[in-house]
Amino acid sequence: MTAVPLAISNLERRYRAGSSHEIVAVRDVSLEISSGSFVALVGASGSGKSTLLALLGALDRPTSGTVRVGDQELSGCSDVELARLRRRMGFVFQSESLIPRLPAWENVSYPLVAQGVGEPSRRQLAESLLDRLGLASRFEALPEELSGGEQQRVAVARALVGSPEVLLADEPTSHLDAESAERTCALFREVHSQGTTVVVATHDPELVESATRVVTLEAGRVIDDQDGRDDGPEEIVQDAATIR
Amino acid sequence: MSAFVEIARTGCASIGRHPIRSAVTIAAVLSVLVPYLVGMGLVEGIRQEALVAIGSADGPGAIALPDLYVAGSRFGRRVPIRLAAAEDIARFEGVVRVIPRIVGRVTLGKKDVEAVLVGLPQEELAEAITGATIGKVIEGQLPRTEPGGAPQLVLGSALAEELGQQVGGVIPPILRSSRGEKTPRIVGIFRTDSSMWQSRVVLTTFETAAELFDQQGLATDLLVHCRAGQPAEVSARIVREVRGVGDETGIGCEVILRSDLESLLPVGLGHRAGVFNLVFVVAFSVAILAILVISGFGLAERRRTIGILKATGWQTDQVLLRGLVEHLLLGLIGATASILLAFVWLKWFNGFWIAGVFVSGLEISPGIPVPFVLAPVPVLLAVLIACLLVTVGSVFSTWRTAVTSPAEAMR
Repeated sequence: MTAVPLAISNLERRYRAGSSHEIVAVRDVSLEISSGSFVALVGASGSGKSTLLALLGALDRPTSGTVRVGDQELSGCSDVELARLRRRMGFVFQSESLIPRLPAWENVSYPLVAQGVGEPSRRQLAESLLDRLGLASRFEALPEELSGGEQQRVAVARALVGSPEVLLADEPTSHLDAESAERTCALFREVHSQGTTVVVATHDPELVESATRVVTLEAGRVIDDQDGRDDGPEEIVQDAATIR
Repeated sequence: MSAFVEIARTGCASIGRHPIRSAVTIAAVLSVLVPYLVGMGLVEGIRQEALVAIGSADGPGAIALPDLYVAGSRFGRRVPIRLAAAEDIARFEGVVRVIPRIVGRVTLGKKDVEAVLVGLPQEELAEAITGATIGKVIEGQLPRTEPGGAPQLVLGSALAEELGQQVGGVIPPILRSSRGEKTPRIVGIFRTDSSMWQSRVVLTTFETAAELFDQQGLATDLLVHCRAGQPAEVSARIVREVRGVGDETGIGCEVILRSDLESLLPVGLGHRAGVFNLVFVVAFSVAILAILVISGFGLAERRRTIGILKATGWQTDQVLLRGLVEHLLLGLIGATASILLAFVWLKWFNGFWIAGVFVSGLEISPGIPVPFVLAPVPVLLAVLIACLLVTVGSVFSTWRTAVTSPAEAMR
């Protein structure tokens, strides 16, 4: 597997809220994320972590600035090229990201439909991932029958089903109990150890501890970017929570 | 190719996963297509039966009907013709035979039920009905002329039901002729599954009809059979040479060729079908709006689903293909169900309510079997309309969502 370096330069994302009010979610952010790194994005709610992740994952378009995945600049990509890029990445959304009316295994394996993978193979892959995440018994359960934590783990399984080169996760452990969170962290570490680039927005000290680099955001700006910090993960998360 | 198949499969599966949305969409298709198919089935059925009635239909059921319908003419209007004119015409080159006919309006029974009385020479009656075995068409027997006896009549099925008559029954005097009052006797009743046109007809012999109307020596028209290729020539000669009316002042004949009747037939039916089509166009427009509204009910969920699909690597054309397969299949299911329901409506419910639009005098629940043919063109049109109806509304909204960024679609 070849991990893909991510690079963003002078990135800005503005939203229009109402007719006159404008929100700047990300402003003048430049980052380079090397292949195989594990980056934790920390910061208070509303600091721009989720928006930055969406921009990195080609799920949103920046107002200005550039995003590069490998040697591809996203603004110049066609719809097909963007789709192919997204297949090389796995994205775990913060919440409500499962397709209603699809059982857990189909939610996990749905990305593979577009790649022409047949149902037996999809079932097998989904079964293996759900088993690793402790959801083997919830194979046929619909999203509405799953708890918030179970839904989140199904979403993690879906992000991993295509063996992504980059894993982007938006607070993947926020709805999980301690045991499930630990299991998910372990899975992320395992994925990272296999060479996958992992970028995770989180408040979870354990995930932060797993990271090789911690980027702190405040009001859409990067205020701190360290490969390793002297203080522990709890302190980093607490610091991040107090700044905005 | 395998991606195409897998995506198409998910599109099909999506129908069962949204049972209410699918059922409502199919119901919208049914509400538009079933009345349309029933209407078009009736138009074609009536047209084909009318063609049989004027002898233009091909195939084993076809019978030899007259080539010319000759009547007298005065002031440019059709009037009864002298019976003696039949002998003149029969001598013309190219004429095979000439049959006098009386067609008139009568009122029957205490309720003064209106009917059309048709009188034909006794020997021509069996052939004039349909050419089929008499027992299949008439319950009882054909009317005969018995000197001094009661006039014998065969009643149409709807008339017999309305008058409460059965074979062997008598009805109050129809007309009082110069020869005295006559009480007709019912010798036969048309079967309900024979031609639709018999339902309000009274059939009798030419002599009896002439007696009942008290019009001796006249026929309302002469039915002229010609050799192949001769009708136009014979028609011209009749107009030129035959004295139709009973005075010396003019020639006075009017001839209608069977081909003229054939060309007139679609006009009346076409008018009604046109009105029906107009109503259908309005219903079609309303249905498109209804389906757009139905699509709107699940829009939030669909937007989120499309956002997730795009975020997980689906291309816009793949998202569209999934929606297209789902809705095309829904359209096909709707069209098939519509065709089946229209058949049931026509066959077992006898064109209930809609038949009255196309056949004057028919009640909401027709008492006679209404002819129908579900022809290929309206059926194919129905399939096309159903697919258009269902896909137009949904594919457009799917496309609009699919071209936005996944983050926006999921927001």
